[in-house]
Amino acid sequence: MTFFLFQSNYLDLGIVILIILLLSFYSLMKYLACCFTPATIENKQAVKSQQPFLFSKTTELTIEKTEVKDEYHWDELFQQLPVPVAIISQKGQVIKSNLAFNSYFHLHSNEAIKSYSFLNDDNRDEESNQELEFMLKTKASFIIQSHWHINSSLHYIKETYKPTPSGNFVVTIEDETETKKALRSAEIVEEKYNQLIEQLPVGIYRVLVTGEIVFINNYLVKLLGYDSASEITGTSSEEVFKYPADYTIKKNKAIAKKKNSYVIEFQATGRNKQMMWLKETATIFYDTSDEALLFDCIIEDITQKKLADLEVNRLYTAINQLSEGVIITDAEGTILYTNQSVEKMSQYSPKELVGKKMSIFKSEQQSEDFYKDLWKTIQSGKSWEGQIANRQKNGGLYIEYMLICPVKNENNDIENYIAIKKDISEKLKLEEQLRHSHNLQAIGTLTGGIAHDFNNILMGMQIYTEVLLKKLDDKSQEHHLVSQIFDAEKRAKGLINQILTFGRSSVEEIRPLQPHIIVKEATKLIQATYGSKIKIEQHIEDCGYINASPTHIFQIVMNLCTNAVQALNENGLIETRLSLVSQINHPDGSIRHKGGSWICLSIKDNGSGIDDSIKDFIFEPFYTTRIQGTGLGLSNVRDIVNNYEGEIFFDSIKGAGTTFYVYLPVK
Amino acid sequence: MYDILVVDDEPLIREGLKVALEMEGYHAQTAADGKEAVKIVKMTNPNILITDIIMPEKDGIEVICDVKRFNPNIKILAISGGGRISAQEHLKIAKQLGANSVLAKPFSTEELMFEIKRMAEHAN
Repeated sequence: MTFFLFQSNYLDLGIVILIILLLSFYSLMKYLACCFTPATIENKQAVKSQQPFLFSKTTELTIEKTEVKDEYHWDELFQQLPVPVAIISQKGQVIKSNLAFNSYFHLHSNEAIKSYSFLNDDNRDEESNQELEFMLKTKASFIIQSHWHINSSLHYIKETYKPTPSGNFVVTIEDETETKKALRSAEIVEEKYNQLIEQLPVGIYRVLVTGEIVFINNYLVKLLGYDSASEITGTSSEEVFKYPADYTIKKNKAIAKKKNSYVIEFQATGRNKQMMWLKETATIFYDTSDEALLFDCIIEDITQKKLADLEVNRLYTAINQLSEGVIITDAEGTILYTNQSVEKMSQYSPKELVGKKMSIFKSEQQSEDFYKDLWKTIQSGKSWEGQIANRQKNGGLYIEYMLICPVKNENNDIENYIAIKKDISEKLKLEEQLRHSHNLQAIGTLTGGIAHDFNNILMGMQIYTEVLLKKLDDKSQEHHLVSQIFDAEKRAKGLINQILTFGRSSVEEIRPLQPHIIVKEATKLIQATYGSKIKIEQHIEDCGYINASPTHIFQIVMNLCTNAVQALNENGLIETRLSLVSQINHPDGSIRHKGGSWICLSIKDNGSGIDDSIKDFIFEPFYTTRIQGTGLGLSNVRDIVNNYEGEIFFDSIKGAGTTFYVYLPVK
Repeated sequence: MYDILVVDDEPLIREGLKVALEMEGYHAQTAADGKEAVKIVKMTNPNILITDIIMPEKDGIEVICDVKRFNPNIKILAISGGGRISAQEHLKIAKQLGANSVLAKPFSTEELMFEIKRMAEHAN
């Protein structure tokens, strides 16, 4: 029976073999494709475990087709085909099936095969069953994509039917379950990707080199103030974004340099005229001739960040412009930031200070305990404020009022210190001047008040002393004693005159005068008073006119010369100089005022010099080193000079002499 | 012999000046304030009046004005120790009102005698 069947279906089998050959070729192609696609290692191994068998068997089949002629071999070949194949009748009855087919559909015995109807199998979906019933009647080639429940799992099967000359059909089974699954997951991935692009909180658009927008995501559509992507796609990006000029320049530069990407921040205007700051990160695609083709751009809305940056910048500028110095350090006192005022105060540039410790400003004016207390206070989280003398870059001192505040982080640990500093050197100087001026005013008021009584008392004493002196014998001891009283009275008279001059020094009449004449007169008077005891050298230039009180100029010269005379020893020499200059030179070599016109009076002596310990006090009122001195001479001179907005300095070497320099402005 | 009236509210000065003047041979009398001075001038008509400026009751400026009215020939020496304004300022005013000579306190007896002699010469 089997033999007969084989005999009668000899032609059918030949066709089956041909189909199988074609299928084998198709499988070979698929295998090769698998080998050249990035499959996972497991997939590759799975493919390899099946395909080499198929490949080798197929090759064998090709050879055997020409060599093996007998039916047995054809049948053997048919049975061993790895693809499920069967010959079915028009009614769906399986006439012949190979091992793969039997295995696939779990047909384990000849009885099972004989009783099996391929049509109306309950495991196949109903729709496919109906389609098959219909198609089997057509006697044409057809394919049915069916799905089956085999072993309670869903299988997608491609059934290929080819009619045979004897009215039967050769059916080949391809299980496409894996392929379908793969396709489905690919679809899911694509769908998710699209969703992601639409839902990303960044804008994405693709623009051609012509400027035409071909894709834009929902986020960007909404950001620009549109309702849907269709309003934008196909339009020009120039119209949509209204790029500023520098955007186009930067983009063209990136293209000219053949860069693969660019990042540009620009200000765009939305559909509703709203201004926004955007950051565009783009990938440039070039065609085969290296011409830019299109741009895939990611847009970030950085408006808030830009506004915050502007705010920070504003604050930074404000802090930098503050007249107070601002220093920010870390918790260890290492400087992180300084503003411009710090440079003005300390002469260190921010570059020189950043990275250095605050101790760079340290001066020896404060004790170690002072600094320890300061650090203890701020390290405990409290603010510290107070006056401190600091050292400048050139070694000079300046006094500042400083407030140091600790800055804590969320864990309440100190992260930074902020020091706010104000240079109060000038203020202290002014306060000192004001205090001095108040002193003078007080002295003026006091002397005015007591002058009358004081002069009256002196008058009485003087008259009686003089009467007594006239009555006593010149050579008597009494006469000598009374003379002492008379001398004391004369000194008292001198003192009251000085005090009165001091109190009234600012109300003298100011008029144009020639200073060189007054200086010469005063010098002459000094020479006449002290005679041959001293030698005076004069280098007086005609300096034209200045606005001043002659009394004041006279007092300056007289007081300075008197002081000089007091300091002289034997062979005393005084040099008076007067000249016109255009700048004020301090004896330390620095230039105090550049420009303008000044008269410079200098009075130099070769006397005993001024001791270092008293240099700070010599201008103080009532400070004197002489028993008979009033302590008002130099103080008086300084006040006169200050009233004229001039300057007074001195240079003195103990044992070698002193030079006073007076600069008065020529106005 | 010149008759001199010394007016000063400070007894030390008026008595001292009296002694000094008498030592030089002048006849001197004293008054403690402006009112008394005017009274004495009216009664005794001295040749020279030495007057302080700042005094209680009647000050030197008033005394000068008064005595000049009824005795225009009297020679006046104004003396001042100053006060709120300087002695020089006081004396300037005194001179403008008719004082022949002025001296700022404290002055020496030499200066005093010089001024007295000068005024006496002018009186002659």
